[in-house]
Amino acid sequence: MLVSSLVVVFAVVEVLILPFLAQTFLWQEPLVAGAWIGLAIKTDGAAVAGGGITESLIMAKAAAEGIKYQPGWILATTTTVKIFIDIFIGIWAFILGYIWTNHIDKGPDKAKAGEIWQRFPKFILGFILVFAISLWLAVGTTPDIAKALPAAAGEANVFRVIFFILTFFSIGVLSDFRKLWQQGFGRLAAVYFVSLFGFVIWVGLLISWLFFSGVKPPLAS
Amino acid sequence: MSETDLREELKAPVEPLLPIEKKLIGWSLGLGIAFLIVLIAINHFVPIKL
Repeated sequence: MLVSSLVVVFAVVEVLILPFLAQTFLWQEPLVAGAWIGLAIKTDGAAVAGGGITESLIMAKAAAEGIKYQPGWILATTTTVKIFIDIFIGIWAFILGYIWTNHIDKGPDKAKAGEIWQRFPKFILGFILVFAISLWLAVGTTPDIAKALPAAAGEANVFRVIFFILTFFSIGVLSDFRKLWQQGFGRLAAVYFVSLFGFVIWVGLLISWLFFSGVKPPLAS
Repeated sequence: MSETDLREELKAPVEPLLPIEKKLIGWSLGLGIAFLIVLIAINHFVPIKL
């Protein structure tokens, strides 16, 4: 609870601050801004929310300057970058775990392959199932159903937003800050603050700049 | 890890990193930077077109 509260509290602070910084300093580089949000905000839900806010803010500022971008590109950049981080964290953690248990801290107990399945986050199966069903609806059914799919996804998006708000609300309700403070929350928060604002967001900005500077979303016709 | 464990761990003196841990951190950082350079090179020679 302590660590999840810490991550969520910082994610909320980041969602409130970083999109406005992106609008002020990166509005001429919309995809750098999108990638930066994906790299800097820790939790997936907050990163996507931050990407959405950044897209709205930057598109509004660009529109005021007479540039009208196609919607969706900044948010898609944030989401793609975030998902790639998740995938690579998983792969890297697995490799390090394998090296540690098989070459460094070799105990009499050998981890079995079944351990992978036991630790596998099963909700991923839900993602795969929804993706497979959506793909089948889009390409394996009648053109009428495929045409209705974007509207159906839009309807489902309402639930995404509701559950996202409920997640933050639940953690807020369950977080007893007085108790957290007594348990060393302040010290952990200080370490997190220094590493986040002193290191993570700058490295994220550098990497985003290296890969996305000069790449602009297509203009709306 | 329970919250009591975490509280105790926060109060405990800092443990120095083991040589093998330093080696793993070094390799992780080195590989990360090496792959970053490779990706930057690919990005430079095969730029994205939207």
